[in-house]
Amino acid sequence: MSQTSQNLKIIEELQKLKKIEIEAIKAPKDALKIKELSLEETKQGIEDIALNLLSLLDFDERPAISVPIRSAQNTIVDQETGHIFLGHNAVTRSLSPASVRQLAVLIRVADGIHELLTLGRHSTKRELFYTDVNLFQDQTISDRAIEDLAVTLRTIRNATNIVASAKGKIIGRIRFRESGDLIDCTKMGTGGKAITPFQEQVEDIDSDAEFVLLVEKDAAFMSLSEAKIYDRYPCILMTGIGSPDIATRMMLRRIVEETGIPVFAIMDADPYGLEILRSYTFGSKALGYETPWLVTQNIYWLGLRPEDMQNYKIPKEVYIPLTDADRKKGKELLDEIWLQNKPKWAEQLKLMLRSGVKAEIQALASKGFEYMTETYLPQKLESADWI
Amino acid sequence: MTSDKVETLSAAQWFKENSEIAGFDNPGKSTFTSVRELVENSLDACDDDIQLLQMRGEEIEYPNINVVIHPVSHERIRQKILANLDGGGSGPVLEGIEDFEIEHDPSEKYYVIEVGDNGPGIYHDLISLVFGTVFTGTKYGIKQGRGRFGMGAKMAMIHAQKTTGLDTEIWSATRDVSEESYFRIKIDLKSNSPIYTTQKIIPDKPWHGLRMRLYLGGNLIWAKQRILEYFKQMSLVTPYVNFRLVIGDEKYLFQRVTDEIPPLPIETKPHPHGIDIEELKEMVKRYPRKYVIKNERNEGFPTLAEFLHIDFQGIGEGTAKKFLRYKVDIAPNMPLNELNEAHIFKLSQAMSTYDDFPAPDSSCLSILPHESLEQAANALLEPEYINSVTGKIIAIKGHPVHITTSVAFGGNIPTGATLYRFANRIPLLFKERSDVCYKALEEANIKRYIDINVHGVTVMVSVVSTRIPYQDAAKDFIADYDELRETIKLSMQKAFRGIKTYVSRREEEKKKEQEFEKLKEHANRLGVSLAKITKGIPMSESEIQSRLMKIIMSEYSIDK
Ligand SMILES: Nc1ncnc2c1ncn2[C@@H]1O[C@H](COP(=O)(O)OP(=O)(O)OP(=O)(O)O)[C@@H](O)[C@H]1O
Ligand SMILES: [Mg+2]
Repeated sequence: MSQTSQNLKIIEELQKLKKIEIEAIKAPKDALKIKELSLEETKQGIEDIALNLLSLLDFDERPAISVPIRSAQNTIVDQETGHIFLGHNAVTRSLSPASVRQLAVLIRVADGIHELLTLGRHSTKRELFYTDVNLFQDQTISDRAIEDLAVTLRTIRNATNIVASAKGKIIGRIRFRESGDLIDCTKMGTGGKAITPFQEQVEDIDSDAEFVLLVEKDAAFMSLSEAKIYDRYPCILMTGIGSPDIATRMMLRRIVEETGIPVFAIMDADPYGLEILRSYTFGSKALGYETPWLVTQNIYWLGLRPEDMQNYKIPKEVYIPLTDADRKKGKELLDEIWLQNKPKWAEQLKLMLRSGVKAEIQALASKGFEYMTETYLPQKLESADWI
Repeated sequence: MTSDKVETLSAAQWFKENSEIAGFDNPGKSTFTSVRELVENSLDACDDDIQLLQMRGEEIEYPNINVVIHPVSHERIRQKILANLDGGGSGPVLEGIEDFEIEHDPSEKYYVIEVGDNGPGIYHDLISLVFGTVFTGTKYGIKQGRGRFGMGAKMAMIHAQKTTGLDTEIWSATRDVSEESYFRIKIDLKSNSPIYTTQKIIPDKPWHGLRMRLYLGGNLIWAKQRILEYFKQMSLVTPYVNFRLVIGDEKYLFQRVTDEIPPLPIETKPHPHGIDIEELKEMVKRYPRKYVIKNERNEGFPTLAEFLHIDFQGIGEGTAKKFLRYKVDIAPNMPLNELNEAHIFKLSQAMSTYDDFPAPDSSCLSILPHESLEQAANALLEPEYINSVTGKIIAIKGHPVHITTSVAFGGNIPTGATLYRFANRIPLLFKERSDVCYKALEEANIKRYIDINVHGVTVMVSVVSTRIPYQDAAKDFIADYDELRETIKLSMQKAFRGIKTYVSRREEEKKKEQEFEKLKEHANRLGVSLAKITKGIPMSESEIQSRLMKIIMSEYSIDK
């Protein structure tokens, strides 16, 4: 069978997965209502926060502000879709020994963002951190405060004009305009194009791809792009390099929105691989308030699945025993509601916990350097082995 | 055994052969004990002196005690024997021993030890008596004191004699004459009597006090640290005394830190529980003599009831009669001279078991006020905090025993717990683990109160009594009586609780202060940012800051 006719058969299969209409994601009633705000609205919101705090001073009351919690304690899962949102639980940050520092950090971040918005500029998280290293001490502190401020303003982080530095990468059958420049991702060598944090500057997405190949890690991205996988199969190759940033998730969502094509995910066969897959598909707890802007519905788990280790006869030497942390994480995931929407994923997770071992995508190299590109991937696609 | 075979060992002879029981068991211990005996004699004498001056309403003199330990070579000792010369100097204060070079070779184990004081001194005629015969002293009464057996100085002298063969030199002067007595004495071990080489009165030497010089073989390598520790601890419990110590060419000063003289001990009559049959016989034998009863002077023999009333503490004539009639079954009005051996035996038995006598009188004890000890401990140990507790007074075998515990905490005290034991204001340095205080400390479970891995603690227990219940004649440690151990344990625990309260209060304060600082710091930041966001309307930066401070201040009453 020639390669082209082979591919044609796959393409037929893929057509079935294509979604003509991608509906907007609606938050359930009891979820926190989040809106995209304009620059002016965000600025006004910050000023209102400040004025509210000051008005308490008139009554000699401790200034205090309520900040929605962004963690498991305040997670709501849409029973129907499995999407993750934030609820209404909040903590108070006030002029008290226990939380004054967090209040000061929040207000200092608000101050910096207010200044940015006034100037009509963007800034990176890193730059914002450097505006008051003395206070923040660690960048994770200011990063978290940015998201806390966004959710306090009931908006998404993009509205704060703070961006993370580019992290994700894209290559393959897609063209778009970025800040006016035409980008052709088929001509990006092997390194790929960095996914810009300024997502609002991306427009005119155009693609003839039949699917997106979403890989967890950079190493797999490199070998697939070097093998020019997108020439063999009409696809777009993307990675968030581990836990994906907002821009990568947003970009993936937009590609699927525009084209309706399916996404095939290649993750490590371990609990963290599944957790990353979850954040693309259902959202994350810390950024639950941004879920409608960030999750992609049309994702399938292609590999590396726990069952593949048997099915593809991956040698035992490359199995890694699950650590205590892995087991704990795995059990937690098993209890999460979104997983009920993916019974086949749940099966794989159970299999992993039962077998007590995990494996990285690189484990495939144990069967030869080209095994992934020449054997594993074609077989998977041809046999429509996605779940 | 026939009587002609019995040889009577003189007291002096006996002690020469059994010197270990008095702390002369080896050269190191002997060096230490010699110093200690002379120093404690000086302290007793100075205390007596102060008491006398106070009674006369005269101005007191604070005790100065000078100790010189001067290593010398064997060759020099030999020359000294040959020359048979008198020691020089006069008065209590000597910087060193001029007529001897200091010997720096530690293998030469000979020393000149000299201890001088500015106490009352001793009259010329008494000197040979108290220093020439073992078991002579002036401290046999029932009184809290350091010395009691009349042998300390003599043991040191015998030890000197034994090791160098040299005489002990004594200089003494009293307040009421302006002359100095000088003696060179040996003790004749066979007859337990003094042998003088020199005995003279030097006119026109107006000072008072006593200076004794011994030439002895010993071991300073072992003794030096103990001697230093002894003075260090001694200065804690006698903070009204100046100690000057010269060891070779090193000088140490333990300066008086208080003007306060503790109430000094008073002599009392014995308590009936504290007397054995031999002592009782002795007391009876003192009659016939003059005695006073019901304000009337009498001579001869009192009745038995009167005898109990006159010679014991806490026995009224009523109590005496009741006791004799119902407990002893001897007629209270039996004249003392009619008492036979059987009577005395019965009386002694009954006295030690009768529970209705009042508890031993503790007013005769000298208790160092907490403030004085704390003052001394502050100067010496530099702790962060001291807590002192007075334990209750208990009676052991007819003698009142009083406990005070002071616990010094933190500051310059190294981590862990250190125990200082004091018995009638003498530091006890040996056999710590056998001591009742050590056992009490173990039972007190200090870790429940203080984290001694983090904090340093010095536990000072002072036991005073008209008779310290030592385990044995070496007087190294106090015996483990249940009631005593329990009392010490409770007073330790009370002191530890005080420290615990202090620590948590201090930590609470520290935490409050840190919180306050934190709030203040962030209030300033908030002021800056909020004013910037709102462009100073409705409030300026400084106004926001001062309002925030007002709120903080209202919750933290820290004076800043
Ligand atoms: N520095 C001194 N000043 C005045 N009198 C002294 C001095 N040293 C000793 N004495 C007198 O000499 C006596 C004998 O002293 P010694 O040390 O031999 O016995 P002690 O102190 O009575 O009892 P202990 O055997 O317990 O030491 C004392 O009781 C005291 O009266
Ligand atoms: Mg003595």
